Amino acid sequence: MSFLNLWWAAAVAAVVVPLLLILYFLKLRRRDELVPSTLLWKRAVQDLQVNAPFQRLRKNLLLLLQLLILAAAILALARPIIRTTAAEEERVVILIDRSASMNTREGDQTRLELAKEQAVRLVKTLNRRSRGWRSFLSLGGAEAETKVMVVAFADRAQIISPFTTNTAELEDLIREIKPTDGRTNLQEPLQLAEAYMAPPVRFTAGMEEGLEGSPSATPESAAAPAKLILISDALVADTTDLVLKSGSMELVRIGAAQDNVGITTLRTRRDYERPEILSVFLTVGNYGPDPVETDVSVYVDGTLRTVETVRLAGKPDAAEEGADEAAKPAEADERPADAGEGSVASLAFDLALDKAGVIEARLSRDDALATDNAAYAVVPPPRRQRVLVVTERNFVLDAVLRYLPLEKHTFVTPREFESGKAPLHDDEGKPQYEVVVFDKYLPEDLPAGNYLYLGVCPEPDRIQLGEPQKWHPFIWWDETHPVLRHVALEHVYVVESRAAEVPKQAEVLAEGPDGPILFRYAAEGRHSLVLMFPVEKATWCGKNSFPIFVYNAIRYLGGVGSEGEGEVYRPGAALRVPVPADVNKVRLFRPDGSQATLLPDASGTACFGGTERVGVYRVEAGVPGHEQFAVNLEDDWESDIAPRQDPLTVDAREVKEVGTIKTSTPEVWRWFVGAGLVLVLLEWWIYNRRVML
Amino acid sequence: MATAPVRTSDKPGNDKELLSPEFMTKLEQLEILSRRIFVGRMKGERRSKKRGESVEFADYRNYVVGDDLRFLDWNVYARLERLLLKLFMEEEDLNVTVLLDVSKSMDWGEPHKGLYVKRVAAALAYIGLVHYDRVSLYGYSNNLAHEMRGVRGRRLVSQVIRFLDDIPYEGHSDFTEVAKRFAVRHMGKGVVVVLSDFMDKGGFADGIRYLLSRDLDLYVIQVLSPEEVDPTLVGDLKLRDVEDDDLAEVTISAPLLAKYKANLQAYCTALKDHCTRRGITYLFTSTRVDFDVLVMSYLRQRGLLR
Repeated sequence: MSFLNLWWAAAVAAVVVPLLLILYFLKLRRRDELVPSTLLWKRAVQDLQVNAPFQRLRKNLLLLLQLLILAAAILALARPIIRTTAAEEERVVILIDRSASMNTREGDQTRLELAKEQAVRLVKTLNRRSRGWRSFLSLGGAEAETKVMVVAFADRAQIISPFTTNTAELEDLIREIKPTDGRTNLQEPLQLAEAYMAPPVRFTAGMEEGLEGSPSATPESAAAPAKLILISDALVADTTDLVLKSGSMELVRIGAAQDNVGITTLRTRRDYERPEILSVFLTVGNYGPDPVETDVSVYVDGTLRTVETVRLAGKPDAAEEGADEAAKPAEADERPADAGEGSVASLAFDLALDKAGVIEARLSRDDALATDNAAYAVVPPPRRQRVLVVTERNFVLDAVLRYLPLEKHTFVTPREFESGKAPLHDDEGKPQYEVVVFDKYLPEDLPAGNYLYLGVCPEPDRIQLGEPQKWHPFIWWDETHPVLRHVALEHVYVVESRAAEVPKQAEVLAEGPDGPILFRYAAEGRHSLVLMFPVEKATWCGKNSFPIFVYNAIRYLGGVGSEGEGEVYRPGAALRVPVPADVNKVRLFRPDGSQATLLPDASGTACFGGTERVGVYRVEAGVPGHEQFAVNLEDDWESDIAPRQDPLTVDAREVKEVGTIKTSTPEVWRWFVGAGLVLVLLEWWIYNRRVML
Repeated sequence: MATAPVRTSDKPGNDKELLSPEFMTKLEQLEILSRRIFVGRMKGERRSKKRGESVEFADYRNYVVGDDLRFLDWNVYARLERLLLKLFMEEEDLNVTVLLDVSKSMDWGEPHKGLYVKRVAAALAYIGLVHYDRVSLYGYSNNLAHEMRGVRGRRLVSQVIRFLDDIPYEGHSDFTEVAKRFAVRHMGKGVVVVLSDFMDKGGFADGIRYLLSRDLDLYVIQVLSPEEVDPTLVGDLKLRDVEDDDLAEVTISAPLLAKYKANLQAYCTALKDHCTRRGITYLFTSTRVDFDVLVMSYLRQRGLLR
């Protein structure tokens, strides 16, 4: 048994007990009572005193009882708890889950707050062990204290405190753990804990002297293995790769709420033909057991634009789901949701938006997890690309570009380009063209921008060219890449090409027999897409796939492509913030209004990794059009907050679940209060019936 | 009986009459006995061993010089010419003395000790007066403050009762001192009845010895209230003696109460033994016992009354 409120109770005791004693030391105020004669009374008192050696003690029976009553009351105040997790280990690692699902409200508190409370109690409990009465009884001295390490994790693990015995500091550190909206990734904290749990190496004295360089100096192995205590709602998407090499693991499961409706997807896309029309696509899932009806409000820059009502069936029974899961083999990307018919609804609608904006979709329904009740999307302004083609002459390109919906496309010869006929930037430094195509011409000293090279290879000092290859097909290409989407290369033959030995950071999109012939490469702000052969020297230009490739490439490079447009970040993802060339620091505003200062690197981008909460992150003094970033939860595993029935398995072993340390363990303090009441009754009885020992 | 029922007159809340008329009628049939025969100073209704003057003839004897010529039987002289003296049965009076404790400690109890004692005294006095005994009443505390000596005759009954009624309860009891004074002043012999609670810090032995020195027929009646016999006190108390303001701090507990009762028992037994050994009749009574029962029954059993 230990106490949560020991010091407070001790303070009360320090005041009250002396007070009671003082009351007794002061002369007892006796009631005056007239009697005909005190003769016999005096004799009786004298006789009693003479005959009773424990007279003093008897007199103080009431005091004794009152002290006991006080003790019971004070013990009740001290909030005694019966320890549920007794750690025999010397070292304990507490893993605190702070993923998005831990923001679920359980009554007045969130799961994370409950978890932190549990952790604080655990810490208090663990380190009280060595100060307990047992250590007084075992005269061999106090045991070594339990060293506690605290790790908070969501998608990333963070060491809150390394192994320490300082309970007070641990409590403070645990209380300062901030919630995040990341997804649960148990692998990283386990690896981290594993690393720290390696037995501490202590060297013998001979090693310290070091004179002999004694090879016999052996590290003393730590006898006690460490124990991991995971405080979490145990909504872990993927447990197959979890490994626990040493020590044991226990789970304190937090959370019981089930009711949650969340937006799992929000995508926006500008109509290519009519860029002022914005298509909005969103998915709403119900993870609670009951059918719900909720309004989805869509705001543009804070103004309500449309409201849609969705009706969602309840999530199918957890038991069925468990059976389903048992039936099919566990897969890494298995998602529990989407199983229920009607529990997920998709909405798609168009909005007229002819400028940049922030789309916010919000559910009107109040549920346990608020994080996924809103989703954001940053919509760039409608824009058509301006394309500059530097070529001697290329009919194919001319024909293709003519039919693409571009704002303008300009053809210049290399000579005209070098003479400055078509400057890439205007006087204010704004780029004049989104995409510049170099056809069989390689300029020197290009500024930051988006470039498509045809038949030439940029960065000659970094990219080695191979031997020319004649008459070959495409060997491999990445169909999933946006540039090659819907591009069929099966029957394309290249007359002559030279494969490139690309640096590691380049992204290869297609390979010939000798190596990459189409790749994406970014360096120093220049974003390049390189095709290693001229378009005329292939059968490609006659096929339908070539215009599609050009279309894709221009969209991709020009930032209108599906990836660049309204890109959605997950919590924890790093934001790459482009920074104008002359700016040496930008300020970033988090959704809650707090600020961070970002310093750009040499390539003119700044990175921000602290996207722990969902919402819109805003950059001040950034590149126009890249100033806002939407971070959304969009995670079925985190939205599905209902506690799982099946136990958590790590390393093919079930993790033992231990009970939570009760909030105030009412049973225990009630016992003390009850004992106090009984004592009060006893005292009253003794006082009234004049019964004494 | 011409005597009107006497009420304890002017004391508020104490309107009980000392003797009721019905009870007086009952008392008429009683008389005070003495186991010893005393020489009364005056003629009473009591038959004495002494030949004396009464209507009841006893004997004749020869006249010797100095005899009272009034008692010569002149008829015998006329017939026999001898001087014979008529002897009659002597009827004498009895000294009945009641010493009643009227110290403050008697002003106590439910039923009231003082009233109880006064009633017993009144009853004894009444019986005495009816039978032409010389009745003396002393109300004492630390001295013989109130006395009514040598009362004879039925007509004084109301006076006696008024006297008893008017004795206030005051002072602390000092039985030894009172007995000493009484012994000095009281020359005659007779029946002496002491009514008290005997809760006297000076003890009772000395007082009884003083009384015994006068060769009196002594009756000791100890009167205690039920509250004294079985206290109902509770809690931590500062007990204050009504007589001398003496303080005793007690915490009432079962052992203390048991001790108190044992002490009381021992005290009463000691008093009784002390009396019995010296030929004194001892009687203990609680005021819970009706006083008429005490008078009509207990005192008769003890031989004080017939």
